[in-house]
Amino acid sequence: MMASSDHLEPGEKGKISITVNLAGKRGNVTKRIRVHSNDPLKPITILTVKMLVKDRLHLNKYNAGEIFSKKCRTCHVERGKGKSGFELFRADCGMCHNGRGTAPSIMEMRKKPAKFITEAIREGIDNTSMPGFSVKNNGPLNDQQIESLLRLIKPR
Amino acid sequence: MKRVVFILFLLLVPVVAYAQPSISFKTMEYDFGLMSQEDKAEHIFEFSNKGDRQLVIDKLTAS
Repeated sequence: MMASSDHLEPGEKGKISITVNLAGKRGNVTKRIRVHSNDPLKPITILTVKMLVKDRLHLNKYNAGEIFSKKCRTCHVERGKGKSGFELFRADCGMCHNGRGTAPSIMEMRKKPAKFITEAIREGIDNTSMPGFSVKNNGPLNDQQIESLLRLIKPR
Repeated sequence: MKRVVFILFLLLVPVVAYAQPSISFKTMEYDFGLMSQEDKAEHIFEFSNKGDRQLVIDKLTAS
């Protein structure tokens, strides 16, 4: 933050320049800057800057199924290989279904019928970022793995 | 004489009361939209002193 000049005569104009360091930031970022002055009516003025920060790999909008493509596999497929249950959830689902992102958390998904959940994991959900994870849909998960996720989300 | 001074004083009161600095911003909010982590988020807010006394910016604090 920098003010061009801190003493302004009547009628004079000034500038306040704001720089936000985005390294390591993700998601919605809001910064507030308080300007303290000798204006008796507005001793503090609050300036706000907002932005949605994404890392380089997620700047573009992708189709849901693209997470299984070559460039996305390392994070979205490889990590979950051979895993099941909670380990698998953490590897393949947690990056979105973490209660912070846009996708519903385990507790929210638990409210849905088991059939709906299985179907969603297998086939995906249209018009969302949820792809079909079944092998049939070019996804990485076999039936046992999908069943293990269902049991995690909806314990018997 | 005392009375005259007093009346003069009363006449001056409004002048003193209205002479004050007034900070005025064109905009107080800016939305950068979608940014990459590698981007530099830089914005300049413009303001002016619309009052009739010198305006002093004491400090800027961030939160």
